[in-house]
Amino acid sequence: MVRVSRTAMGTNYEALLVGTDRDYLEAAGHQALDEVERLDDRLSHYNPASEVCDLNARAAHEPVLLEPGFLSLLQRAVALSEATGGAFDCTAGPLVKCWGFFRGEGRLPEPGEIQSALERVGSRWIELDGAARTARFRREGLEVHLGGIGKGYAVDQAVQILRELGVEAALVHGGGSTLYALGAPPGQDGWDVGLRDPRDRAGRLGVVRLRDRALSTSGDYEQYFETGGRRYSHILDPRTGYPAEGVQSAVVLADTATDTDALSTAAFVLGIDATRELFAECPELGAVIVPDCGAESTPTMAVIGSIDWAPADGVVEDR
Amino acid sequence: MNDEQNVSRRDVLKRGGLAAALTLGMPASVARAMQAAQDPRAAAADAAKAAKDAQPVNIAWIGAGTQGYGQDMKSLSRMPGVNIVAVCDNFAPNLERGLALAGPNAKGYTDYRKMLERKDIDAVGIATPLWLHAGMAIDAMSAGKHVYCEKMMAYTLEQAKNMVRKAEKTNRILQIGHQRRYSVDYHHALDMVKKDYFGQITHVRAQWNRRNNWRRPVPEGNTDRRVNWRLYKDYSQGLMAELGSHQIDVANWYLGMHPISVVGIGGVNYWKDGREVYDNVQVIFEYPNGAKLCYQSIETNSFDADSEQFMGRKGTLIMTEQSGQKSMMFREPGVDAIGFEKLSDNQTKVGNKNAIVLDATATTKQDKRDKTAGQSLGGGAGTAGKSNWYLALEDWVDCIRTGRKPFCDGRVGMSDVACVLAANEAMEKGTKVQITHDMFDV
Repeated sequence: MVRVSRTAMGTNYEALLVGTDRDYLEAAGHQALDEVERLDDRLSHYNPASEVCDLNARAAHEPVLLEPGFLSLLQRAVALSEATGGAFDCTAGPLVKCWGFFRGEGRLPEPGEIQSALERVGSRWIELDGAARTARFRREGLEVHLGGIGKGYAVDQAVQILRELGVEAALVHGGGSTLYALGAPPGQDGWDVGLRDPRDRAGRLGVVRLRDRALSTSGDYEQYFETGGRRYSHILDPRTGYPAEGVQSAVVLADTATDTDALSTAAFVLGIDATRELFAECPELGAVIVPDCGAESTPTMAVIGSIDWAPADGVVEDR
Repeated sequence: MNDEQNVSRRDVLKRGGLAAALTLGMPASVARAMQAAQDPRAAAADAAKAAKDAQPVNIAWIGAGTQGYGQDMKSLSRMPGVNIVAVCDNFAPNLERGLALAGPNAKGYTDYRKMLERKDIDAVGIATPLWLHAGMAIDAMSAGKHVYCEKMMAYTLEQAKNMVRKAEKTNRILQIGHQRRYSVDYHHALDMVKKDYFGQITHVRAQWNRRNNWRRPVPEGNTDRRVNWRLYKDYSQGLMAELGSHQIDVANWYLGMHPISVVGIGGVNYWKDGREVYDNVQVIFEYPNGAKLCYQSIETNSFDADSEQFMGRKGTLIMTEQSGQKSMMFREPGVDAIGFEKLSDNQTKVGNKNAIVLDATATTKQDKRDKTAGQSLGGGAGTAGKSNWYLALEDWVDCIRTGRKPFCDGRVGMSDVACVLAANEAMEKGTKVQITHDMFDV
């Protein structure tokens, strides 16, 4: 197995490649991660020269011509926002800022701040014209941030390059939270991926087997702050403007990492019942959600949809 | 430092006089980006108007590879008034993706000569292996097309000269893809060098260090020599051309002169895989005033990656295009504050040294800070959503529309070729090579 890695989008990207020609695999892995780096430059709102910053600076005043790949990503982001009833929203940036999660540790905002941020949130204000390849914001102050979907998109693009180069088995991940399993290692049906126990860094909920499938995790342990005895997660509900509650972690499986990246956030925000309802119509989707039931009881996690999965000993599941 | 100069430059930009900005020696696209950083709203309105009035330019692109497709064509695809009407590549998957990006109205070619017969094509971009540049560029200009040619400009100095001659004879725009010449940061920093913030620059250290074998995987249907042309002498001038040419150009640009001699050592010492070009190069250029440029590019260790360090009597300027890294300034110990400290409030520690992060938006912030306590905007240039590649191509298109001379024209590219090839010769022969005036004459 060949392992190549790269730091981009504020996290570590890694590709594990399996095959006979090590030199070839290493070169292919680098080529795939080169693309991740290029995408970081183009999609990160931290880079003032990125296409996202261009869009945010101009789209409220005029239609902005988009590179076709960027347009497709934006179309997908808006579609996923609609499909999840706004539980995922690529315009939630003002909320993230107001809760201090952009660069800082998080802070408790005044209700007025939240209200004013909410007025600048909503993918429905993005007007996309596929034929003209333009985007326009119907509301001043709207900002697109691809943090909740860009990592998955980068993983998908990297995998696409590996496919074109004839790589048959590889696992590509960004920061361990979003990954795509291409093919399977020799003699196996798929890649075995351990799911982390949200309350025990070393512990596992179980192992999921993936083949030509993507997986993303959203957890309240990634970033949060505590004040007044309450834990405020960095995952905000774009519908209410407050941190989502009731879930410790949400794992989502789908055909693309672009989708899982956005949908794991949505599942975290929606909780078990609403996710079950949403995913019922889509047989290709799967989820494992651990609810937050307070410190006393052992949570019963929900396993939703199609998952090839082996729970760890002592884990309570509800299908 | 000279506050008067600083104010006057700011006023020139504020007054929006693009012509005035051009006299400051920068491309119009860069001047516009600087204006956008100072007054985003006015700039957005100007951009919207310019986009509406933009006279359409029909572009054909040759070479839809990593640079051609991944940077150049993608930039052009979101530029108002630009139509990519033709794509040429002799590797089918690249041609396909190029056409997909260009849209349904674009036509594909495997023979660029056939493509050049089209009368509706105004201009041609070239991002092919080095050895092909000159022939394609000269054919395109002969066919009446303007040309954007990726760096390095040409495989030989004579070819580069022929390109310049052809451009001047046919009165076509010929721009070379040294994108640092279209960087807001690089222009901003050059301004500080000219104002003597760093004192006399006596030494320049530049490097591009990477930790990989520079070999790309060869997909089915392609060949090693086509994919990995950079490794073979028939097609490539090696690391000095593919990486060094960018940074030698920056050194010459900032120092305002050409070197007069070069010594160097290189070799194939680690990646002994059949490649013909050196896997490590270390050269020293000497300038007429005694300044030296020490350049290295290695492929075994990526420490410090790519940057150009300008070492002056008063301070050091480190420029980089490295993803996620900032350009920085350091004052020499014992030297009084020399002005650039005021130009950015974004400071950081590098080891035990105090660094000031270069910030091309700082003039605006300085105005604000005079009134209230300032807060860093997070550094980085206010390039308003445009990469250096984008700004370079935007300016090229602007030159085509207006007939203006490009900032990085054939003569700039040709001078760079002369220096790079002299360095290669010095390494090959193991002797000091003189870089003479006639090398820069067309």
